[in-house]
Amino acid sequence: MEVEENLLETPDAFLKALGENLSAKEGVDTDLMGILIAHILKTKQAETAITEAKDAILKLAAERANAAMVLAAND
Amino acid sequence: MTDPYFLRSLSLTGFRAYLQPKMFDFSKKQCLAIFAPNGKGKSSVIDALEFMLSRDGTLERLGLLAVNNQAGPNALAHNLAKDAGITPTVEIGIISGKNVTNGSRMAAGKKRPIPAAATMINSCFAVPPIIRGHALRTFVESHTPEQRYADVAKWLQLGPLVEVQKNLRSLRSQVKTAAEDNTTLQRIDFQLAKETTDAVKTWDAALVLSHANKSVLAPLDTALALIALTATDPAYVELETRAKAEENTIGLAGLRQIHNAAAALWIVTSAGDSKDTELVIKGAIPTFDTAVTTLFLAEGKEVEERNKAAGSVFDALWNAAEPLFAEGTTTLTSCPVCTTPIVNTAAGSTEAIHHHLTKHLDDMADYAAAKQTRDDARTSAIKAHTQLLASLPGLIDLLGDDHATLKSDLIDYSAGIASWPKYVAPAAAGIIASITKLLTTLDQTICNIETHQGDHTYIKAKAKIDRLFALEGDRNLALRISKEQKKLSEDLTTLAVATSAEISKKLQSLLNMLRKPVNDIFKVILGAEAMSIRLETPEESDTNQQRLNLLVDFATNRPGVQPSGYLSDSQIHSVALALRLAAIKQFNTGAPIVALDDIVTSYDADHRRTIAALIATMFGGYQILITTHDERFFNYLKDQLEAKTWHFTRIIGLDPAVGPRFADHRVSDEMIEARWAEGQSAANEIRQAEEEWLLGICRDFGVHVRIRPLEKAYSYDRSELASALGGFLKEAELKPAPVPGVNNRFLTSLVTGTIENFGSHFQDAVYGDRSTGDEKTRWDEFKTFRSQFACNKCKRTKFQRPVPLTKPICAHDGCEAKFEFTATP
Repeated sequence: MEVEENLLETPDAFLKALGENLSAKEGVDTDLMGILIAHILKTKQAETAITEAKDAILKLAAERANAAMVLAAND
Repeated sequence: MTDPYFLRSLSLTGFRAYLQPKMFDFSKKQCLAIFAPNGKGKSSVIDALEFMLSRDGTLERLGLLAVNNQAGPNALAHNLAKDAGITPTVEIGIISGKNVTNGSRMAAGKKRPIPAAATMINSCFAVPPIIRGHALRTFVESHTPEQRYADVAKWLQLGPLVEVQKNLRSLRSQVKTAAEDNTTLQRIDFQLAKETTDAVKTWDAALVLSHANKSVLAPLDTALALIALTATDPAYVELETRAKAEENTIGLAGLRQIHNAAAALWIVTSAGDSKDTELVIKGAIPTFDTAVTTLFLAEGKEVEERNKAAGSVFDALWNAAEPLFAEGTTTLTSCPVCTTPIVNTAAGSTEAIHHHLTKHLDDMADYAAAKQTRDDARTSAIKAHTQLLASLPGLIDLLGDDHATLKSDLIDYSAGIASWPKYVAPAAAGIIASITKLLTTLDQTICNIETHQGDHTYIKAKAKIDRLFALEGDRNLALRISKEQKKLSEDLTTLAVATSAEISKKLQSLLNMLRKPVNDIFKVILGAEAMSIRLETPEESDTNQQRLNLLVDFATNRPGVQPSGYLSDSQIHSVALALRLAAIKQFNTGAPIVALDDIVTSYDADHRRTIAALIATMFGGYQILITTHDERFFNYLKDQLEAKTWHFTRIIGLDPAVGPRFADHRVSDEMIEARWAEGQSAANEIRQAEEEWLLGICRDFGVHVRIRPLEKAYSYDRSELASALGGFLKEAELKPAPVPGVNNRFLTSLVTGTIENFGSHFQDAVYGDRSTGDEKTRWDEFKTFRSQFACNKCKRTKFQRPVPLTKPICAHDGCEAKFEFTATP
């Protein structure tokens, strides 16, 4: 019965649990996972969800690159 | 645990076929079966439920509103509702335990908000509770695995998860494309090529360093060379120092600027490119001096010519007189001013006067020319004056302390020029000499610099090196960003695959939960011929997880095949029906409600009976709403389902001003007559009436019926009943009188037990030519036959046969006469 109840959980609850489980996994990029949770792992996604998620990922890449450059310059 | 929800009532007003209000009350009997021919409004009841539960207040089959076709939500309302002043509305009552909640939803207008009652019961439906026959086949036969996946996901409320999978794929693709995009590096290479004048077209650190040393630094100092493109390189530090020092002196550009400003005032230069050409003087000062001189001469000439013109006695009159004495004019005989006869004047004739005028006109022309020359000279002088005043500050502002005397002289000269023409312009000779000396000095200095370092300066060299540094920085950042993007893209792929796999796993788990009940239902419908069916998601290695294979194990040597290639229409229909019913049974425990709209169209008689049996045995406790145009199926339902929980009704007509007319009673003679009165066939009604009578009389007479096989446990064929009745009558030595007519196959079948399907679209052979005349003949014959089954004593038609008796008796308490056919007259 417990299995059935888990299976019949709402999509929202399923996605929330899925996001939490993946975030907790070792080696998972939590920033990236945060972006997916914020924009994609939702039952009611904005029309621009994909664009927003992509922009957030590219922004994250730029921030990490800048930080690495600063670090390299200070070394 | 919360009590399950059931429908307590459903009301339609101005909705679809129902103009006037019609309420279905489920408080006493929770299940409803409606029989009606096509187009009489039976599906409108299921439509009302779908509309009430729909998120957008519409029906799936209506589609979107298209211009001019009155489709979409417009079709919800009865076409006469507006004219009748009726607001199209569906009302619903739901009950859970003892709690009743009612809700109403308007079926017109842009906003058709869903009531709380519908939202409440909707939350209990994991699977849509409405199954429509026409939609079942599509799922099995026509849908691609992708469409089927979306459908099942929708049934199982996984639509948002499918959307997540789709969006993840799209996001992965877009991020990968962005990570592989080299536009930024290409732009940097383009700028590098421009910066190095195409010496280095693609970034190469050694080539860039070489270019910087050879083309930027070496022209200034061959000893100055960078070891690396870095701001800490000793050569760059030295370059910075020299550039700063250069900023504190007047550079080549500054000298050229002073030279140009001085040359704008006065310069001696060649008239052409050749060295032999004549030297000319140019500049604002000589231009102004020349203009002033020209003006002086023009003013003198103008005064002289004006005096000449002013001495003439005709100065004031010539303009007026000239037309009178123009050449060829002879009509004038006296002076128009003093009336002196022309002949008495000094000239003596008009010709002589004309000659005199012409001579003075020439004097006037010379004056006009001199005046024009003076005006032009004045304009030129003013223009040259303006230009000179504008040019002087250009040099004054550029001169530094090294040229203080010249600067002072220029300021004084400028003040003198500014006072012209009120005062005489100052002499320019001194200024010209100073400017000449300045130009000579500047030429010499510029020549020396150009000979030494050309156009190169340390400031420019540093700027170029700095731009190369910036390009290198941009390139390193772009490479780093690209690296981070590629890593994120890979991580995204990993997460997306994991997410998609989890969603697919959830789906497969749900499908596995469905597998047994689906096969159980499928076996009930198809009996021994049923094969195992299953829905399978793709292998994990498959990149497209959004597919679903529907497979049947058709035979031991045909396991896991596509149904459409192996199953019949009704089998395919059964697969889809089994899937839907199993999903509802499995997942909709919070609201065990099923609405079935014309689901048996593909089935033969046996399977229709089996479907009825399926509902009776596997969906006890469910609230079921059934509509059908199949009267035989309707009768099977009546025969097998409990009367205490089921309300059976039929639509006997569609009144445009009201809506469908319902009748719960059996087929009456009047109903058959009404059919014919409308010019319609009454074949279905006749068959129904015959079967109803046959079943009733068999019950009353207590005929013996053969125990049926397991798969046909629930109902009797008319042939079985006819055979049993025929056998009973024969055994009881009860012989009905012959009925006039020669083609009464129904009566013959009673005796012989022959199967006969009168007027049915399921018939094996046609009855007569199926005309209304045939129907009437048949009906008369049947009525004649039926009329013999009446009590001889009281004429009543209800009988019973208590066990010890061999013949039936009248069921009326006060009669109980033994049944006998009336003797043949």
